[in-house]
Amino acid sequence: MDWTEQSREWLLDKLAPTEDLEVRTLRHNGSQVELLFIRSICDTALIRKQLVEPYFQMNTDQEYETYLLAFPGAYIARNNVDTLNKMTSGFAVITLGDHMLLFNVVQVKAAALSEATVESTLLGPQTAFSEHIDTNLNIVRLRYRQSSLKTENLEIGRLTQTRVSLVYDDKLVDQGALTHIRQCLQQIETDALQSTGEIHRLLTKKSYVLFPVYLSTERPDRTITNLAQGKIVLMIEGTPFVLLLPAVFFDFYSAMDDTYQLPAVSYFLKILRYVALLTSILLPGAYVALTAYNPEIFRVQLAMSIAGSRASVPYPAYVEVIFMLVMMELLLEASIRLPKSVGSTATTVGGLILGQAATQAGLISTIMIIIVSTVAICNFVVPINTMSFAMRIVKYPLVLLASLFGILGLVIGFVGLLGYLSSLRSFGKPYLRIFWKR
Amino acid sequence: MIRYFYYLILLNMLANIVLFVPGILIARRFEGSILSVALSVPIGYVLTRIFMRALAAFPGQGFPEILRSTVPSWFGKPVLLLFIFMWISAGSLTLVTFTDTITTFINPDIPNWLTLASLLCIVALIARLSSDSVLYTMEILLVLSAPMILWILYKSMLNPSFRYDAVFEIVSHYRHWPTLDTLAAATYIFTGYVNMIIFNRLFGPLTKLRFLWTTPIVGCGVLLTSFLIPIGMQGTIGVGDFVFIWSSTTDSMRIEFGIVERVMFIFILLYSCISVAGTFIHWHVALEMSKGLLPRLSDNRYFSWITVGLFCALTMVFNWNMNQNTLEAAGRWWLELRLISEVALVALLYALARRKQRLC
Repeated sequence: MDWTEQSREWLLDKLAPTEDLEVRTLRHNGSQVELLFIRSICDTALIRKQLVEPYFQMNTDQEYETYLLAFPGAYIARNNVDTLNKMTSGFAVITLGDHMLLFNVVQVKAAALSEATVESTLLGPQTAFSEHIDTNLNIVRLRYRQSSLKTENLEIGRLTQTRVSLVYDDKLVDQGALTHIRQCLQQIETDALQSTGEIHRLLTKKSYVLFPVYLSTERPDRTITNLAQGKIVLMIEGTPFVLLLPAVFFDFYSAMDDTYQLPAVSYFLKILRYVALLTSILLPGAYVALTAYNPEIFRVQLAMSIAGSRASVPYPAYVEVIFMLVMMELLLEASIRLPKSVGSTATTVGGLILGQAATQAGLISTIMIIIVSTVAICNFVVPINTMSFAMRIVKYPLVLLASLFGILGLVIGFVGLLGYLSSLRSFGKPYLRIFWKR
Repeated sequence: MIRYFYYLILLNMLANIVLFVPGILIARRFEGSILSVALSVPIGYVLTRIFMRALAAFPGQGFPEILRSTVPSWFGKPVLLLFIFMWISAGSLTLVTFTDTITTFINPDIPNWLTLASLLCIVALIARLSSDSVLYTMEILLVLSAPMILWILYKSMLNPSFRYDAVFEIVSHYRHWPTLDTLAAATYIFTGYVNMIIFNRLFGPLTKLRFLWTTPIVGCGVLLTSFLIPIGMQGTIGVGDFVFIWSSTTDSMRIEFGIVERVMFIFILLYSCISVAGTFIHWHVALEMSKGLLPRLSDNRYFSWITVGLFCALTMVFNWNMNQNTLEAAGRWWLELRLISEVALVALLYALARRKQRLC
C-alpha cells in the first residue's frame, strides 16, 4: 500500500461507521480520484460545481490539482491527524495518486435558527435547534468536532416515515445503552411520529409513568454538553426538540446557566432550585396540615394570624386549597392557548378576579393567594418542562394525604415519593442517587 | 459504595431512641446503666470486627446463599426462619412504638391502627424495591435528617436549664454491676452491621474498612446523649416519671425565634423519617431472606406483595393486642433476645467462614 491508501484506510477507520460520511469515486480518462467528506457539514452544491464537474472537464490529474490549489482554503494534506481535524471541520479530501488534497467546502446553516423560547439563559448561546434535521446535524457536527461522533438514521412511523437520527460519541457512550436503544427503536410500531414526547411515550411501555426518564431540549449547547458526557441524542425531523438519554433526576434540575456563571453563583442557583422544588410540592399540603389538622405546630402568633385570615372562609381548608390549585392550573393552561391580543387582558383579569375579588367575597383567605402564587412561581423554576409538569401533578396526592393524615401524611407522602423516584432506572442508571460521580 | 455500610450502622444508632433503649437505661440509672454503656462499646466493636472479617470470606453473597453453599438445608432453613422472625419483629416493634408516640402527641383523634396502617403502606411499598433502591432512599432520608438531629443535640446541651451536675450524679454510679437488660439495650446501638447479611450482595470484597474506628466513638457519643440528655434536662429523680422520655425532653426546649416553637414537633417529624427508614431496611432484609427460604415460590410475581402483606398483618395483630405496659415488656424481652441472636449470628458466620477457608 502506498501512502494515500494507508491514510485513506486510517481516515475511514476513524470516521466510520456513520451515515454522514460520503466516499465518492470519480473516474475519467483512465484515472480516478476519490472524494471523502462528511455530508452534513459540507455544501454539496459547491462540491458538485467546483470539485466534481471540473474533474470531468479536465484532461489530466495535474491540471485538476493546479485548478484546485488556486482556490483559497485548499492545500496539500500534511499529515493524517491534520486531515482528520479538517474533515470534521467541513473540508473535503481528494485523493490524487500519492497525495491528498484538502478543499474547504464548509456550510454553516445558521441562517434559519431562531432564539430558544422554552429554555432560555442569560449568558451563553441563545439559539435553538430548527425543525429540519439536516440543520440540526450540521450545528451539532460543527460544534463537536470529533471523528468519534457517529450518526445513525432510521425511519419510524408507518405513514409518516419520519427521519430519526441517533447521534453519539463512540468513545464515550455506554455501548450497552446504545444496543438497548437500537432494539427499542426497532420495536416501535406507530402510524405517525411527530415529536420527542411521542417517542418518549413509545419507549416507556407502562402507561402510568409520571416522571420523564429522557430529557428533551431545544438547546444545542445542552446537547453538546451531554454528548461530551457520553449521552445519546435522538433527533427527529419536524421538531426542534431533541431527546437526550439516559437522564437522571439531577439532569432535570441543572440549567446551562450553572456552567456559564461563576461557581458560587451556580451553587446558589442550584440550592434555589431545590428549595423551589420542595416548596412547590410540600407547601399546599403543609397549609392543609398546619391550619386544619395540626394547628399547634406553628407558634401561637403565626397560627392566630393564619386562622384570622381564614375566619371568613365557609368551607374546610382542603376544599379551599383544591379549588385554588385547580383555578391556577386552568389559568396556566389557558395562557398557553390565548391569542396574543387577548393575552395580557386575560392574565390581569384572572389575577384580579382570583386574587382580589375572591378574597373580598370571603371565598378564599389571603394566605391561600400567597401560597398559590408562590407554588406557581416555584413550579417554573425547573429548567426542563417535562419535569415541571410531573411536579405539578405530584402535589395533589400530597394534598390528599395531608388532608387524611395531617403532617404525618405529608411526611409519609414525601418518603413514598423518594422511594418511588429511587426505584426508577434510566437505562440501568439509578434515577435518584445523590453524591454519585459518573 | 462503602459509605452505605456506615449509613446502615448510623441508622441503627439514630433509631435507638424509638426502640426503648433510653427508657431501659433510665429505668436502671442507679443500678448499672453507666457501666453497661461503657462495656457495650468494646463488645459492639469486637462483634462488628468479627462479623465483617467473616463476611469478607463470602464476597457478593447474601445470607441464604452462604447457608446454601456451606450447611445442609435441614440446618440452614430453620436458622433462616429464626432470623427472619428477628428482623420482622425489629421492624414491627419500631413501627408500633412510633405509632404510639404519634397517637399521643401529633394525631390523637386518629385511631391507633389507622396511623399504623398508613405507615405500613409506605414501609411495605419501599421494602419490596430492589436492594440498591432501598439503600439510596435510606441515604437521602439520613442526609436530610441527620443535620437537624445534630442541631437538636446542640440545642439541648447549650440549654440554660440543662443541669450538668445531674449528669455527673448519674455517672458517679459507675461501680454498680450492670444487668442483662441494660447491656442488651446499650449494645443495640452497634447492631447496624447485621443488615449487611443481605446488602453484602451489592458490595465487592470488603477486606479493608478504613473508617471503622470511628464507629465506637460515634456510638459512644450517641449512647451517652440518648441516655444522659433527658437526665440533664429533667433531673435524676424526675426523669423516671415519664413514659415518652425523649418526646418530653424535646418538648421542654423552645426555639424562641423560630416558626415552630416546640422542638418536639421537629423531633417527632425527623424520627418518623428515621423510623420508616429503619423499618423498611429491616423488612427488606426479612423479605430477601424469605425469598432465600422459599426459592421456588419466590419466582412468582406476587410473592413479595404477599410476604410483605403478611408482615403488615402480623404487625397489625401485634398492635391490636398490646398496650403501653405490655409493649414495654415486649421491647425489653426483644432486646435481650436480639443480643443473644446477634452473638449467635456472628459466631455462626465466623464458624462458616473458618470452615470455608480451611476447605479451600
